[in-house]
Amino acid sequence: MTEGARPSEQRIKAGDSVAHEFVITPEDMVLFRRLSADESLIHIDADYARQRGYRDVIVYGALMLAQLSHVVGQHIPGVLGVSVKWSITYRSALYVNEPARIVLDVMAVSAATGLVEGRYRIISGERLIAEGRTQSMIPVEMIDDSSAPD
Amino acid sequence: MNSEIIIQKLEELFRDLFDDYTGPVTRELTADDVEEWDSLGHIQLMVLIEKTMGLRFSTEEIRQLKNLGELVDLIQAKTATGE
Repeated sequence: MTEGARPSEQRIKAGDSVAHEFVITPEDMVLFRRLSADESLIHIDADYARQRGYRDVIVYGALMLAQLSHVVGQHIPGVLGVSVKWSITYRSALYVNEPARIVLDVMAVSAATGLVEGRYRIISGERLIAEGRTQSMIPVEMIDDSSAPD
Repeated sequence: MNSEIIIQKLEELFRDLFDDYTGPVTRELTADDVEEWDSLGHIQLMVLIEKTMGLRFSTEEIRQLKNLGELVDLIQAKTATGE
C-alpha cells in the first residue's frame, strides 16, 4: 500500500512525501539468496542469528533497498527519474514477515539542474530499521521550486 | 559578501564534495583539474551552494561557468543584489 502517491505528470517540490508499506517474505529471501549468492549466516541460519542476539534470521539489506527502488522509481521522483546517489545506514534488524514502512520526503529540488534530494526512513512499528538519502535527476520542467529562496 | 569570504566558503563545500582532491582551491581552478568534478559533480556542487548560501541559479548561469573564479563572481553578484 502506498500513501501520498503523485500522478506522474505532477511537478515535484520540497515537502512532497510518500509512504509505502511492505513485508519481506521467506520466498523473497530465497530468491535474493539465489540471485546474490550471499550466504551470510545471519540471513540464512536462525541458530546463528540467535547466538548473535537476534530473534531470527534478519532480512537482507538489499531487499529493503529494492523497496526504496520501488518508491523512487514509481513515486518520487517517479518514472522519469534517474537515480544518482543513495545512502543507507542500518539502525536495527528487520525480520522476515514483519510489516515495515518506508517514508520518503523531498528535502530540496533544484530548478536549474533538475536534481531532487530526498530523505527516507524505514520503520517497523516504533522501531527505526534504516535511514538514508537519495538524489535523482529529472527533467527540469518537472521541478516546482516555488518554495525555494527568492 | 567579498570574494575572499566566498572562496573560503566554496573551498569548504568543494573539499567536502570532492574529497579526493587535495590541490589548491583558487579562482583558476576548472573541472579539468579535479577528477570528481564531472557533469554530475558540477550539478551537486551547484545544488550544495544553492542550499547552503540560500541562492538560486538558472540553468544558463550554471552552463556558462568556466572556472571557480566565475562562480565566485556570480555568487558575489547574487549576494550583492539579494537575488
